Amino acid sequence: MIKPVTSMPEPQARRSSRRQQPPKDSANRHRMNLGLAVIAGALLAGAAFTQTAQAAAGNKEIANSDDTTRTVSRAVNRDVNITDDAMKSAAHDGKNWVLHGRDYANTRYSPLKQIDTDNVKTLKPAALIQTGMTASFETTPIVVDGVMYATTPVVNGKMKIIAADAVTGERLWQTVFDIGNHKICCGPVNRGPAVAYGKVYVATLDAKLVAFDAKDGHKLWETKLADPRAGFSETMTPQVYDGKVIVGSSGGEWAIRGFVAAYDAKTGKQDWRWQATDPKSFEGDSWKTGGGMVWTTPAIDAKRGLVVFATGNPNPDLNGTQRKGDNLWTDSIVALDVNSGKLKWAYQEVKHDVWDYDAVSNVVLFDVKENGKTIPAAGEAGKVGWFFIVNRDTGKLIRKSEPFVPMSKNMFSTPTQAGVMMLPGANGGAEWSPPAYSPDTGMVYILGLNQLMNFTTSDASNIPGQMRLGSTFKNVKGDKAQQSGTFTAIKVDDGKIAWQAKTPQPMMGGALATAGGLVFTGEGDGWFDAFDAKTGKKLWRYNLGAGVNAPPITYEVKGKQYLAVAAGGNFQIDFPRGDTIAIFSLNGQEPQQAGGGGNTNGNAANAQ
Amino acid sequence: MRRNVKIALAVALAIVAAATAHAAKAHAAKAHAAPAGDYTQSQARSGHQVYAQHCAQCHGGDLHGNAGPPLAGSQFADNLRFSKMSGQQLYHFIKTQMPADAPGSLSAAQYRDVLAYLLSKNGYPAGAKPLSSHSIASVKLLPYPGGNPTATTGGGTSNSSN
Repeated sequence: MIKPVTSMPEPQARRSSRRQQPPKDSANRHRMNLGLAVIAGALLAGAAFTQTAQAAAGNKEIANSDDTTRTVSRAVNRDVNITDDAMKSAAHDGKNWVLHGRDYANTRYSPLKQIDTDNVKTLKPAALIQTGMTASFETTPIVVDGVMYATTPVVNGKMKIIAADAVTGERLWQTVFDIGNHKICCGPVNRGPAVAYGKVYVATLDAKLVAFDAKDGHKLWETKLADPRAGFSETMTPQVYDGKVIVGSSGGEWAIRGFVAAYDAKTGKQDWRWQATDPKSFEGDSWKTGGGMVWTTPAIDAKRGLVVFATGNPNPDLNGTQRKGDNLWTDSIVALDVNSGKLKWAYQEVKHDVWDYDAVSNVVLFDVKENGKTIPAAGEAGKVGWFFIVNRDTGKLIRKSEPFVPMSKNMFSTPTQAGVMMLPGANGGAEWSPPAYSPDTGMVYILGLNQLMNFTTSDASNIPGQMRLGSTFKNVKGDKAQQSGTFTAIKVDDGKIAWQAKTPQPMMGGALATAGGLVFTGEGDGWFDAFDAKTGKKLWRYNLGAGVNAPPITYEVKGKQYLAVAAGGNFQIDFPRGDTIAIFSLNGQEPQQAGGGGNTNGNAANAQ
Repeated sequence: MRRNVKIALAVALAIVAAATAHAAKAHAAKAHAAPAGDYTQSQARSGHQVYAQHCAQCHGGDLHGNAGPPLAGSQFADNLRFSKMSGQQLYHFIKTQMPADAPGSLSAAQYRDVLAYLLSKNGYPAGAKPLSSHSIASVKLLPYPGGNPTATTGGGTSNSSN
């Protein structure tokens, strides 16, 4: 199936183009002595460059540009050119996982049902991809035609994009590139690549959008999205729709203004940009640094031409004295016209937030029943602890769910200098973790955190590029400490909790629902769990030895269903770190025929 | 032959010029720094221990950052130039916000020692008098004493297809 590649053409041509021929004009030669000396130096430097490039090629490491190194074992020769049609019909394509949220509605629901409530107990690891990047891991891999694409966290200023065989875990190519100066609150994370039109799009912590070739990982272009020195950073997976790459920016703990912007998927040129803060709803000039960052991948309603996403807290986080007003559109579910970036509607979950109660988890699109009618809806699991369901035509609230985490009686008290202890804590509720929605059960599955926090205020001086919280985040320690989690199934038609699993640690990662009647999620102590989607009965679990704090995915290759999930732990709650993406299937790994099909790297080795 | 001599001469001249410039620069830096450092070596040594225990996990054993931002080197210098932060402001930030998982949990002396350690690792000169709650107000972070930072700016698209 896969064509072996001896070695990739390495960019000697570019390097050696720096060589220059000495001038032939002898008449002016004595005036050019100095020039010759300089050229001699340049020649020496050129030779050194060429040598480096050759050495790198010998190791199959290929310098792509000054900040990028890639290794190609086998260039991808399958059809990884994901088209607009493929993305629009992703919901019905069980075989592949082509979009971050599996479909444009962000449901993370797969129609695959080979793995079901009866046989899930025989699920075993089939392969492990050890990325070599041990840090807080939040990636959602993309799988197309048996090729898996994944990003890693940033370690020592570098990040990897890996293309691997989705069955054996074998690397096809990997590209390592430098991440420049950046400022982050919550670990050196990346939530995954977007793959479309034969390209891999990655948004980076140093606030760039970078495009790579999906076949061999070479860098095509990069666009600077914002100034990382001011506190802008990118943690989300971009959304790709109709020739556009749509991204928001993280950085809610800095004195900056949130945005969502669309870029031309071919060239990286900006098309439109929507700014999150509405000046009319902020005191004075505070809207200019009023936050409303967008941390997670938007949903797309292709029929209505909407891009729908959640916005984060106003800044400073815990001190609202200098930003009086509702602070629209922070902590909101927002819908824009996907073609123009103009606001269509928005719903604010928390007015004038002084608790860091962002709307940060991915918005999910589904239909709800209301008075016998079917209504198109959008839902978001807030850090404030409710699942909010709004009308997708108007943005009006249909209902908010029963709280999926404990709420203290003094909730929404104004933080003081002395401090007020409240639930939910500033991590939520639901953090960035994407939920899953199953049309089979009509339930949404949400990861929750239960952390008692002491909310205090302090001055919020404005130093450019310096974190501006207006206080500190303090988890309560000692006897009163609460550190636990919930995994909750909520019926979207009435907002009631169908079932809830309690976990010993706060939950962070993501959920997956399948037509096999299952939901999957991971825990910070390494357990990867499967539940009965209807009843919440735990049917299977496997410990991966590091926090499973990333969203699981599922896909099919040659008629067989697989699951994959990253186990790299989490910085924010200090869950044990790891570097691995694990692939599971019923009965685990199948015997591989030695020397056949799979491992065809012999040629590449012989070529040296 | 004469041409070769000329080339050699030109190269030698260039080397001498560069060396002279370098020496002058070093001399200027020394003269500028000589009067009084803001902390003592012993404070920086204590600060190293505090750093290793409470800060290194996020900011790296070499201060070059990881989950937390770099606290030494060109990116740190870049951030200082962007923020134009004073020593007092940096101290206040560290004292109220760090360590991130237990803000304000260290003693004032420990925070001062950590700042002394950061100063020492960034090439700010040590002196005879220790950093005190009084003297912090006069600590200047700019101009940064280390090498050339790499500039990072926003805007623009670059293409490098090959």
